[in-house]
Amino acid sequence: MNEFDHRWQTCAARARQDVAGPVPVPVGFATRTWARWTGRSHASLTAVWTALSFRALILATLVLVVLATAEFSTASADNALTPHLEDVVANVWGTL
Amino acid sequence: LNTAAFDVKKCLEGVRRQDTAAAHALVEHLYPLVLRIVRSHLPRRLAEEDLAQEVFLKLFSRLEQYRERPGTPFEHWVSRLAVRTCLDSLRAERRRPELRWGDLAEETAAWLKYMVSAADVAPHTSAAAARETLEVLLRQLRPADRLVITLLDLEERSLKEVSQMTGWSLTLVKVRAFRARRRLRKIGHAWKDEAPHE
Repeated sequence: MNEFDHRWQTCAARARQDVAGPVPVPVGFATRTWARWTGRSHASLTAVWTALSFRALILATLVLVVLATAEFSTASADNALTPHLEDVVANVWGTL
Repeated sequence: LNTAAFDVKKCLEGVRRQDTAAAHALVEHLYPLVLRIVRSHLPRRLAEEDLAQEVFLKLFSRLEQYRERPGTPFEHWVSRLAVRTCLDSLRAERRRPELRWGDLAEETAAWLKYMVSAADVAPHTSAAAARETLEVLLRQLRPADRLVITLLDLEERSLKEVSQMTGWSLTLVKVRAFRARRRLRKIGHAWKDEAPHE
């Protein structure tokens, strides 16, 4: 053991004599700690709910956009192929 | 801790059922143990009560992970949790203040002079001053090094106990202690180089 280590141990031995007495629990510490824990667990449930709701909202928006796109393209295709009903009726009426 | 009179198992069951009275009893029962650990490894800028509360919050959140084992009291699990929490706080303390001789109290400076110089006689000061001197040097170590030296030298824990409290292997504890002591000597030399000439 070198000189520094020896002196370190001397100082540590003296420091160990600094014994604190019995430690009383601060007034309201248990109440504050438990309240913080229960508050935090409620907060975390709310956070989970919020995160899930937000994701559900994004998913629902995506589904709506996809469906609207599909509907729009189908509707456009139908319009190109199907003749207007009133024209057919007018033509038939005109031939009579 | 008066473990004989306190029924930990019953109390833990109560806390798991969110029983407020059981939680209060548990906190009051464990507070001396937790505070003793917190005081030994407290970062400079954190109040001991805040860190103690952090330990209890972790305890509540991880209570489901605790499994009772024969021969291993609940207090051991709590000690380990407290030590790990303190280590995390020390790691989070990014900037450690640099102290100079002029910043030290007279008694602390006297101890430090004794440690780094050739003075033969240890100063006759309070034990608190000796402890503060060790803290000055320990604060300059890395958190893990500080932890291992505090447990070994100040709390006089055995290597096995340190291993159990930290979760490190016995070899790792030995290696960390060896390296920490080497760094401590270097820190001591640095203080010696800057020592005021009288």
